Amino acid sequence: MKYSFYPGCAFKSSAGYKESFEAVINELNLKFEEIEDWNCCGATVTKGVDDFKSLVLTGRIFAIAHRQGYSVIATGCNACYTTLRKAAKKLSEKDIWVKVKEALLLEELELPEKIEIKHLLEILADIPEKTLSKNRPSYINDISVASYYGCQLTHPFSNVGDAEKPGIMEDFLKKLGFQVTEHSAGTLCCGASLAVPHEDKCKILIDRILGEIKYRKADVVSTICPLCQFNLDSQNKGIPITYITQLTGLALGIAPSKLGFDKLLTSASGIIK
Amino acid sequence: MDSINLQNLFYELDGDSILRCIQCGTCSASCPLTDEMENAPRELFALIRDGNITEALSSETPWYCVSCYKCMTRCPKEIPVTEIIYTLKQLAVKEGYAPKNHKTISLNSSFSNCIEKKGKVTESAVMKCYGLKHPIDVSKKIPLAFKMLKRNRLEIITQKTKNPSLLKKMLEMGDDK
Repeated sequence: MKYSFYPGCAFKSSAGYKESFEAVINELNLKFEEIEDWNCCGATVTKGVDDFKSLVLTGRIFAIAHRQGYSVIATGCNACYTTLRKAAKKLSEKDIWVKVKEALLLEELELPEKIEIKHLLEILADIPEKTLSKNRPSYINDISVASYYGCQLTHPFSNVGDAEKPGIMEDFLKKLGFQVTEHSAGTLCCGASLAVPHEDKCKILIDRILGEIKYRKADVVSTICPLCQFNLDSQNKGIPITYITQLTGLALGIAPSKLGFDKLLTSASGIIK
Repeated sequence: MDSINLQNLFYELDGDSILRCIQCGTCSASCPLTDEMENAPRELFALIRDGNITEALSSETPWYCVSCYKCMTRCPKEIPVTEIIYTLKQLAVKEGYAPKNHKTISLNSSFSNCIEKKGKVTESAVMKCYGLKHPIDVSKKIPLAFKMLKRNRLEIITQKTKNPSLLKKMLEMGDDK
């Protein structure tokens, strides 16, 4: 299956997400095509400004994916995931759909009636174990990983299981051969963009998450969202905050130099052999 | 708009789900930034039901909402709490009740500004715009910016769509409705 890919604004400059994503999909022969000339989804901001504006931003993304022949969009960012899923649900209301469709005609775009949004993690989680274990280096089995979902993957517009304790990332990490660190901070909020204007207040949230993860003695944290990764990593608490695609790459036997580890603020050299 | 009309408008915009609120406080207890809020969500709903919508709209509370959706996920009466906070943000700005100079509002307008001008958002451009109003916040981020630069992660060139002005035109099509 080939997916339409929505990178979102933070993907390219994130700490090795893009590099590791490309290396992993290449290794696994997964096909993704980037949405042409995509725009910002509006994240958590535009919805607080105006409903119509937020639906034009998301509707344009859906319409371009549709024009490229896709009915499923994949993204690797939690905020994009929630924003797009929420919009897809809202656009199932006929009167709203008609209004947004009309606006998109200005660019000669056709708004589809239906579109499915998936997180990259869901696509990775569907890969059979035997495909993942072929070139696995033996040291992978000694690494204990704490899953950090953040808040926007699992909350209410989601499709990935229990909102407080989803389990999908832990199951995938086990399939990759890692040890899994059980902890209670997986879906706590990192403060997201409020870490800019209210840094001190959000630092408390991040300390709570990393305090629990370190107490449970994880070697490394696995994240699935550029903003979560950035907030946790920038506090520099001595534990590497990686992307799931970087860990997947290691388990697949891809050279670490191709996985963008040099872009992390807290070095992951201690876990790589 | 007077207080009664504002309250009617809020209820029409799906705000009437707060009439189901049992004041249990699950939303306020689940909120990561509840300590910063002068009226946490439960109190905000009580204020509105008591007819004090202008006080709720002037409150700083919505601007501490980080959209984690914990309140909405956990509400035993299935009130879309986070969505109601979004509605309050929209109304507060449109009707002129939003607190002046709140830092979240500055950040959000820097973000929106970037979308309107470029169609895409680049961190450095948002920070530049936000820094005009809050230079201290941005100057505190300079050491971090250097670390990002060293790792080739600081985007100097802003990303943009092919035709940002056409997108802006489409965004404005709902303004009079």
